[in-house]
Amino acid sequence: MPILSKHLIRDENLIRNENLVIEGVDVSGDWSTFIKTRVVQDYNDSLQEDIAALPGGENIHRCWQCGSCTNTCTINALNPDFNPRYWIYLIRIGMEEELIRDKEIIWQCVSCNKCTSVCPRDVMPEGVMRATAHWLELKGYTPESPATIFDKVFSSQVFAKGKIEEGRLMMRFFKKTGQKLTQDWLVGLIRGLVLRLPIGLLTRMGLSALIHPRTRDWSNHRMAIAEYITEQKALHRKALGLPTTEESR
Amino acid sequence: MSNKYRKVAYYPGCALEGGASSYNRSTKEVGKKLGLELVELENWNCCGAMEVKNADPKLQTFLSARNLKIAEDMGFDTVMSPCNGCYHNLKKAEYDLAHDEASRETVKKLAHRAKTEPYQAGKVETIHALDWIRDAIGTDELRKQVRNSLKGLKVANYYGCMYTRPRHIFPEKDQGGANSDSTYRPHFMDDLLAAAGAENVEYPLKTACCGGAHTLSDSDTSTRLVLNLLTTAEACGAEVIATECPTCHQGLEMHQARAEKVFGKKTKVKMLYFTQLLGMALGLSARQVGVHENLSDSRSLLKEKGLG
Amino acid sequence: MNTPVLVVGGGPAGLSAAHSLASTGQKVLLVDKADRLGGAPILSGYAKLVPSGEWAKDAIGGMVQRIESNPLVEIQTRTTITEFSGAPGAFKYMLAGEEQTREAGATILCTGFSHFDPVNKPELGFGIFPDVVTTTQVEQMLSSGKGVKCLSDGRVPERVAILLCVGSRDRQIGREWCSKICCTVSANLAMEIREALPQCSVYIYYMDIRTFGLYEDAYYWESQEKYRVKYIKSRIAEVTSDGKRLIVKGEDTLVKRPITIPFDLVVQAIGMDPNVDNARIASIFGVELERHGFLQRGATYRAMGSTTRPGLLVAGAASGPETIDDSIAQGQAAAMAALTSLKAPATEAA
Ligand SMILES: Cc1cc2nc3c(=O)[nH]c(=O)nc-3n(C[C@H](O)[C@H](O)[C@H](O)COP(=O)(O)OP(=O)(O)OC[C@H]3O[C@@H](n4cnc5c(N)ncnc54)[C@H](O)[C@@H]3O)c2cc1C
Ligand code: SF4
Ligand code: SF4
Ligand code: SF4
Repeated sequence: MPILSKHLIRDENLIRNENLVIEGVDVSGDWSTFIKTRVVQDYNDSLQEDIAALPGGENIHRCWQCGSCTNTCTINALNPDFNPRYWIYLIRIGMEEELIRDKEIIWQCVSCNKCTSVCPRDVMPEGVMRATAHWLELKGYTPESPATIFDKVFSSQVFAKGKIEEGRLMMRFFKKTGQKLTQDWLVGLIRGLVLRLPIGLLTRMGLSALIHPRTRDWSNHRMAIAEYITEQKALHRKALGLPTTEESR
Repeated sequence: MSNKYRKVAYYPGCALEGGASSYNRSTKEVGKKLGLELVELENWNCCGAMEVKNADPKLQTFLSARNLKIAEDMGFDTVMSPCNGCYHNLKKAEYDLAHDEASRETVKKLAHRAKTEPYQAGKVETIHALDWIRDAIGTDELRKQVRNSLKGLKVANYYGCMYTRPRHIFPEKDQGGANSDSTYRPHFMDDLLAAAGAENVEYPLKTACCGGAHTLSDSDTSTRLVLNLLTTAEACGAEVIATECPTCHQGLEMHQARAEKVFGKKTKVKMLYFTQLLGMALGLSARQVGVHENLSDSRSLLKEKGLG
Repeated sequence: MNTPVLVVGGGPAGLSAAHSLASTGQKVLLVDKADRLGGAPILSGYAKLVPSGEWAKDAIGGMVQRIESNPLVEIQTRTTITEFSGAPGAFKYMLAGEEQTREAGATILCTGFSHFDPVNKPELGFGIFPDVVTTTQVEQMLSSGKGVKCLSDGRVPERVAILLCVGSRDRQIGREWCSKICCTVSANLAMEIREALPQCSVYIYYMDIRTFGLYEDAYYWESQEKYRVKYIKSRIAEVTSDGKRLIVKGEDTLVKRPITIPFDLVVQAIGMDPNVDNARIASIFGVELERHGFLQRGATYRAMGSTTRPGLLVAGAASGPETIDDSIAQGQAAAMAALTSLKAPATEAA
């Protein structure tokens, strides 16, 4: 019998004997394909609570597995392995090992909020994706993803200055992720733009590279935010049972 | 024409001060041309875009609450933002402050630590540039003011994610009828551009995602998403994609170029901010609405169409 | 027994209450805002009913005739109540368009439900694509004898999808209840479609199947075993079109796989909303609504049909999604409670 839904079975769990004769019947090759029994015993009972303790994951326990999020998901349409419904299931039931197999793609959520708009239980799957990516990093399963690095570079600029300046942001990001500062496709675009711009504007743009935008009297805000972030970080690490002082990355 | 929104607080946001200067310029020029007054928020801060919420969503609420408080302190009950990200975040902050005790507490705590007063929900209404022109001027009046009709220009209207999702933060949408925008099939930009003479094409991806959140951190994904938006627009017969968000707009421009360079997929469709199109229809020149400041070059198409 | 009992709403619940009262010799005034009696099954033209299999126009139509020919029942259609006051045993009220107040010893609210308006779920295509219809419309196609057809061009569908829970069980649109009957009604319609159009495939997209009680084998199993209706465990987020047919894309959650099927006709199993009049009904009659907007029941076990206002009774779908037979049973129970309160206003109804 052909195995239906063979895509659900990982290659390493499929067994196939090239030469096998059972009770006189030759069942070599495809005839002897069978699936290794896999019994999961080490459920992580606190996985759901871990995710719920991180920002965005608060409503995970509401999910009833209807599949709306996955079938509307922008990234699922590009990559069927990106499946918020399935991950929520794994988390709720505590199948940590299974979840970690997809650690390389969970962070790819583009925050389009399609899932959150359709979810009938208001699970906020977009938030759960964020919390899960965060959890993977806190637990050390994944290094910081490019997205996290971008968020951090961006946020730290906002927290420090109150405003964002795109040029600098891009440079910092490319530097932090070890990418070339002069991405070919960007250079072409910017060259075209520069040729079109009048001299006056160019000088202004040149100047703005020196005079960085910032919000005035921001220092109180900067301190308030820094204090809050330290508190929250400690809370999150505590909820996950990690030492509360994070070694600086 | 009504008296509503004729003078509102203006929150341009970081993108419009930076790479999307042409959106800023064209918004202000269109306002001026239509006799509407914009008063920029004093000493505003970044709304947190899509990134700060990933660090902590309540910090984003705090950042937006500070801007709303500024509008209130300046004596305004309405703040207008042309940027979907800013608009979305202000709306989200308003919603969270009205519905979530924990958000209220955090904003209060942070505001006090920063030695300021916290914003309280319900004081300031956030609107998008689309609401602003549509409600202050209206399509009938706009039609009368058109000097240089966009007639013959085939436009796909692209709204993106942040203008419509998640739907609960936009309680004024989905109320049915022509005066409430839909989160599923938004039409406010279509209405305005149609009044300016444009020929809107049926575009099924109006609210699809351009991958703006990962423009730089997962460029291939963004390029694939954008390429889909562009080829679909072309298949629908569009010559221009009208935009109302700097992140989408720049994402489309950058990834159109990247799709050609990296994937070898060339598309011809142009991108223009809806305010640039409206401005040209109202008789402003291409230069006045900053067409030359866009990353992508649409001047030859505009010339061909006798615009700007 | 001289002052008539006021029954508001002439659907299955109201018809049953009025009939029970009249059979004991009690006079009744039956008021309905519609132009005729019968409630949803008649006004919306339902086809064969669950579970009897009788046509709605025969079954509920029969109940209407029985009431119309009863001399003890005065019927006022196209009428509502504009004022209501007084205490149990001596209620006073006014009918729209009348100057004079009337009196009632007891009053039963049988004002029913409203159909969910699927325009509130635009992503599911109703109002955008003509071939996206509701269960009510399919009921009408069947009961009118015109048959199940695509509204766009009149063609006979080769593939039909029924989407369950449209407008029910959905926090996004503030509907946090199950409408109770639509799973069974959908299985029933699927079988009727298959019987009428044997060449047509019918798919039901579900989250859970709630063919409760004796409906399990008669509808759920029967539809699968005898009629080969296909059930897919997936909630649909969006209905689109390729220009020719409707496209339903889902995640088949059982095999974790995208599943995209083109359909000729998509049927939304629309839910039962609180009556759109409920806010007004609550203020006129001085009763409370429960958190979803249905009429709040006063007690569950001791006093059948009580509301939050003493002596004012409720029956049927007015107080929450209900089936026809339960609505009828509640109508009778409320009639009993009304009679008890008239006879012995001081003691609590059983
Ligand atoms: C598509 C569909 C199919 C269904 N099929 C079945 C089935 O096969 N079997 C089954 O058991 N159930 C079925 N049901 C459920 C069934 O419709 C209800 O159980 C039944 O109609 C409830 O009866 P009711 O008398 O309580 O309310 P309704 O039938 O809603 O009647 C209420 C009456 O009150 C009147 N009214 C409302 N407001 C006022 C007012 N303010 N003043 C005066 N009058 C007012 C209305 O005009 C109406 O006549 C179905 C439901 C749906 C949506
Ligand atoms: S849409 Fe919501 S309830 Fe449904 S599977 Fe996704 S998270 Fe769970
Ligand atoms: S927000 Fe993320 S998980 Fe949700 S639909 Fe978009 S990409 Fe998918
Ligand atoms: S009865 Fe079935 S279709 Fe109706 S709301 Fe309940 S589960 Fe959904």
